[in-house]
Amino acid sequence: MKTRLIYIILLSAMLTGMAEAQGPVIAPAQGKQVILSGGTIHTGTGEVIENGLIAFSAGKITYVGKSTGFTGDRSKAEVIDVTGNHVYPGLILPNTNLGLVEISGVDVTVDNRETGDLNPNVRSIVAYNTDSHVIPVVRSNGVLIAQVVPSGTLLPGSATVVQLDAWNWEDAIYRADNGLIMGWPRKSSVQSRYASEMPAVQAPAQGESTYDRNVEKLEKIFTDAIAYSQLAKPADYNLRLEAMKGLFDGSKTLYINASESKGIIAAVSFAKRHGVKEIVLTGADENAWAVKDFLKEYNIPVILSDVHGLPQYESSDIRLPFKLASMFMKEGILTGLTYSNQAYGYNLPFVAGQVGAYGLSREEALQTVTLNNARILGINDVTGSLETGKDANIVVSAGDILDMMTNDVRYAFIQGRNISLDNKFKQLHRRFQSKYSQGK
Amino acid sequence: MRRYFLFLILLIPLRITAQTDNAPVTGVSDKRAEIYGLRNALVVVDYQTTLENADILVSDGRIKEIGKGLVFPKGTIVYDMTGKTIYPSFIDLYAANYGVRTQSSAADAGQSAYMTAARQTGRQPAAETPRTADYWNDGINASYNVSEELIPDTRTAGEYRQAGFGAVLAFKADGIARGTSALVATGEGKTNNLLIKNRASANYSFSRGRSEDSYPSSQFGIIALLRQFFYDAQWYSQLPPGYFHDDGLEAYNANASLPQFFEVTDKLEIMRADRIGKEFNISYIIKGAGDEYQALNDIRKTGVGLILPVSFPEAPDVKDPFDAASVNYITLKHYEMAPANLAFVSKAGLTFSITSSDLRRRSDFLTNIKKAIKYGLPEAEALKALTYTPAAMIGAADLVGSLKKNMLANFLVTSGNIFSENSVIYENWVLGIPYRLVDLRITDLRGKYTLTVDTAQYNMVLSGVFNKPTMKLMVDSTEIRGAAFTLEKDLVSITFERAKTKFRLSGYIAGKDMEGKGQTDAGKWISWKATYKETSPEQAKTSKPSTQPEIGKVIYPFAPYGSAELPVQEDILFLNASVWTNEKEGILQNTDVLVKGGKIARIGKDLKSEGAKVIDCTRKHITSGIIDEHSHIATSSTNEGAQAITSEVRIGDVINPENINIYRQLSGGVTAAHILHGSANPIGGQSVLIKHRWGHSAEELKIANQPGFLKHALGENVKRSASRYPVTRMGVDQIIRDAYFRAVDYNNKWKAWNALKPAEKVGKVPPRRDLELDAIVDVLEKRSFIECHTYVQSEGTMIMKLAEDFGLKVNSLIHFNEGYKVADQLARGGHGASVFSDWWDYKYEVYEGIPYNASMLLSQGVLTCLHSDDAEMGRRLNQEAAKTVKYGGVSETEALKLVTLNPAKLLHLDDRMGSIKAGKDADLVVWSGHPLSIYSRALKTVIDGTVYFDEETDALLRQQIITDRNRIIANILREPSQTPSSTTPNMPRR
Repeated sequence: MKTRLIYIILLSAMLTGMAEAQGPVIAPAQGKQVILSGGTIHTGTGEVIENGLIAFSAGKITYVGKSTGFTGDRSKAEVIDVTGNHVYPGLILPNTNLGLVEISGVDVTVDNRETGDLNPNVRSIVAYNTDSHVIPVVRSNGVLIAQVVPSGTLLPGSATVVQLDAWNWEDAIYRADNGLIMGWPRKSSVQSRYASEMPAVQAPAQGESTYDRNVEKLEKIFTDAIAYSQLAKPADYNLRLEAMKGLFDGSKTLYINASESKGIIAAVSFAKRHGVKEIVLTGADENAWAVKDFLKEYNIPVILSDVHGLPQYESSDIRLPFKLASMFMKEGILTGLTYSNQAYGYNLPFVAGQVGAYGLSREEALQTVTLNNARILGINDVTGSLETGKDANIVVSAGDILDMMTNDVRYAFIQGRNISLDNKFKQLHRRFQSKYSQGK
Repeated sequence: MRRYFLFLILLIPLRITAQTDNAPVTGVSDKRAEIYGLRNALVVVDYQTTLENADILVSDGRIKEIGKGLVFPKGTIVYDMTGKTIYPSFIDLYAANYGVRTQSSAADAGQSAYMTAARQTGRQPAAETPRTADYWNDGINASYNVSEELIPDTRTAGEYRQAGFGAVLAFKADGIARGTSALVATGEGKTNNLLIKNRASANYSFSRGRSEDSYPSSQFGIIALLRQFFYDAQWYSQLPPGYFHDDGLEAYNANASLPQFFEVTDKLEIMRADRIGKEFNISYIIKGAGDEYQALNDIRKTGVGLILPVSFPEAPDVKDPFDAASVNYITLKHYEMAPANLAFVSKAGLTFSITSSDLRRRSDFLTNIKKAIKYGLPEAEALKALTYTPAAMIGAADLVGSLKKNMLANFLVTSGNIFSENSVIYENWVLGIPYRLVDLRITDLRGKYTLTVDTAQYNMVLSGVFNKPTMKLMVDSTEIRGAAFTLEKDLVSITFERAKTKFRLSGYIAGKDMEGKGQTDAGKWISWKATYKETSPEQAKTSKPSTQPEIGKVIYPFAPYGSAELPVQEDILFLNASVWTNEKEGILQNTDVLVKGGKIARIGKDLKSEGAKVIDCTRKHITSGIIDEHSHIATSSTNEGAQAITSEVRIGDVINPENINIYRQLSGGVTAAHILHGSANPIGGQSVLIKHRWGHSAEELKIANQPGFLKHALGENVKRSASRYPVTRMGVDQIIRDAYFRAVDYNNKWKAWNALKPAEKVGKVPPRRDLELDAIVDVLEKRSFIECHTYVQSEGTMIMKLAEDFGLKVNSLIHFNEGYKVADQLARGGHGASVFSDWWDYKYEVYEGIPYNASMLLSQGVLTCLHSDDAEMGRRLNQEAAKTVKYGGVSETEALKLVTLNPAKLLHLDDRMGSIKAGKDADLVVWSGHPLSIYSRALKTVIDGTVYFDEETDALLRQQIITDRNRIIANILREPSQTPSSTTPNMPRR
């Protein structure tokens, strides 16, 4: 406790001149080689290296292995002794409104949903606010990469993967516009408890026609987009259709949010029929589990966003949301986790811990928020695990990062840059600690 | 159906002249005696007695004589009823809006112009229009009597008659207090003649109806209003003359001796209505919803009478397996069990009558009664519930419900046992007038005939229904296809084709024969005659032996994870655990805990089992049950938002013990919770403390001898309603302050009044009891405590100062995300705090919420706990506690106390809960590992020595649900498919 306090004081001293409640200073590019030595390395590939060493230069990992096996030159490197600590790949938060929504209840700070149903052309990245107070808060528990998505309509726009320590959105880009979001409409309204309860009046005819109308909108724009993509030089440049081109050549992944079992089959079939190459199912829950064979057959990865959510049905297994990740993974379905509310993205490690308590090993649980997410987002060539050649996106925690009781992030590196772990929470904490220490 | 209805209309008497009339004669009078004698029927005198070969003499709408071998006076119109059965006609006590002209359609309910405008514009219409001297709230229509505007409508009357009803209780189904009803005969004619008994009952419901007032907007608001209304009526009766007039209160007092009816929409509301009734010595007769079988024991304890529908839910759509997955288990179970409701109710010995209310089509009434009988309702009980019981419930058993001398001539002429599968009601006599559903005056022509047409001879057989016989025409033994026979009173017609000649015959009945003329298609006229030969043996219909259909078990609660058998309290020895005592002993390793009689008996090593069940807890941890200091589960209402101050509403009035979230909380080791009013009002309502005794009734969930808590709220939520005062934090301060000053004054008034000697009170106006202020007086008198939803520091300081001004403490500043900013102030004033672990950022006032809040409050010495405010988080409160270890370095034992001992202290329950100490309640959780670890699970959750959650039992229950679902779905799929009906769903209207 005392050492932590000293650490905090030192940190605040480091940030002299910085007013309270400001975003922390962005870390400069990596200078000399950094060596983290003595920690327990969880590579994200399932491997655990006790008394390990990880070295990185110019933002890239150059060595991962036993300390004893490292033969490089330590003298010119910045060597950080992390003995007793755990070293992890930076966690990845997919499918989030982070940076688009500052305070969900204050409309003017909400930038995730453009008006109209079909906006495949709008780009989340241009609204991504690198100075959001939410970002440092999320980051300081180990989340270093996020996929920023618009949401809420049939085609809300395109998604970009960002790293969470940047002066502006251009610097933040990790993989630009490589995803398009699709919200598949719901067919049924929510059912009441039993028939004699009001209001059980369902209007199936109307409900279905709304569904049909929305599906028809999607049918039309996908058909038009395919035709458009065949034109070398269209007479009428169309931003919407232009934005959809990548779906058909595989440069963009289609992230489908569908909540009903049949809707999932309908949506994936729809996308396949229109020649979409890469498909991911987001917001997967027990209704997705009901069609797991279909997902498996078509090799569709899933992202679970409500591990800390209640089951869909009263009679469902109460702990089903905790168990689903393990269930999907045992079926061989690529499974990642996110945290549905961007403001609580800092709890991402804990939902991974939660699924770890229900059928996954600790290392598998870690993968649900690192390597699996990297693979789903198409960035596993550069991050998601601690392997030589990959970006040095690294988190050091004093204890198990997936358990809230022990998560204690000491260092985080994004592309080798030693980023600040300060945030609004800590600043306010310090500010009012000072108030109470004044009285003493 | 349409044809049948038309037929029905045609058969009603054209003029009814035997009835008493006080209006002057216009034109030539046409008064007729209309004395009827019915001979030789099987007469069901009442549900217990049957007379064979009996006669009935009817005149002036009454039964003049009933018995064997009656001598009818001259001028009697005599009908032979040989082979027919006569029943007293049925009585429906729930003819909602029958004959009421001012009703609007059901779709309009709760859609008054006021409410619509409020919804559309988001603000309440401004000017209050002047009103008559009725009760101040428009949901209370106690002074209304249905006879003011009753004109029975002939179409509905016809439907009632067809279903077997002779009298129905008409009332206006609008509002909470609905005024009084009238018993009306289902005949036609002047309302003066049809109205049998005026002011037969006073009616109530939990529905606000088309009230012009926005208050109350919730069920606990409605209950609070009723309670206030009843107190007001008591006060009104003590007022000196000329002081204050109120039609509603006057009517209530005048009608207090009438049968009091209360409509509910599910069985839980029966207990709620009964609780109000018991407070004011009212025994309600409850109009139920058809799900009473789900809570028979609780209903029996209330002692209420019941009026029950036979509207059974339609089969859920399970054709598609994915769609079927979204059909609730309870929907399936209720679908399966609803037809057995009356059988259950009857077997439980409850008093009930049956109504045709809530049916989609009234013509389904008898069909559904027969279905209920097939599901085990005894026929005699059915008849009693249709005749005697409803009559007795409204004190009209001397007029209707049985067939005795001088009673109303309301009876049914049937083909036999009215509950048998193929029974037919021939006639429904209402007030001595026959309404012929089937015209018994039609000659029964069924038999074998020789038909001679011109010179040719045919064999003709008439069979089938007597009034609509079907014909089989044969040459020798070869049938002529397409031949048709039509009977119209005394006229008959026959058409057929023979040797490419079409014959059309028309004629009349001549004794046992028929004869007439006919024409061929060539235009040739011919004569014909059908000569009766012999009877045609009707094929005896073999009715299938009725087997009682398969139904599952009633489970408690009637929800997923309910059980047929409730878990019982046991003596248990938990062996060899890490025991988190929350006492100065801290965490005891390898320690045993002995539970006896629902209490913790002993804690120590190597304890003897003393006959208790032994549970090995090696490598397991045991903690006190988690207590959620702030929850909104298990309640049917959360906010009464229609007024800014609604301290009169009580969560305890609307606890829903069937809410699945209770069980879900148990799975997270949560044993008790504080259930609060929402945060829509500066002063919301009174909360209640429950234990999660899953399977027990609302009352049994409540913790005994609990203190009161009154919910207050500040900030964005209460100032959100743009038209309602307050819209600023400044106004929030003032409106609460004002309420407290009013309560102080009110309290003083009562104290002064109570100090008077009885003689001094004479002629003085007593203070009016005000439930809104009573709740605040309870706080002033420290019988109840302030719980205040607070976010930012300014408002936190405000409410602390306000409380201190009245000599009070804020028992708990709830949520208080900025509590860390003024933790010293809380500590100084002795105020408590109940906060989130890490919630922030969902609105502006929580933008400075930080997860270090709890640790900072603790370090300043504030009594602090963590709460969920959320059913999902509620089951992971141990994890939320763990976050304080991370954020702020709270010790593990202190962290656990944030969700166990500290909430117990804040809720004034720490004398019996919150730690593992001999003598305290045995509310315990067995964890698979360290209770603060993300990797640990609650294995067992124990309340008062009863294991309410067990991981293994949970798996079994889940399997049972799957098995039961599959069984019911399979049964539904086996049923013959029915055409979907597009009309309104089968449910009570509210």
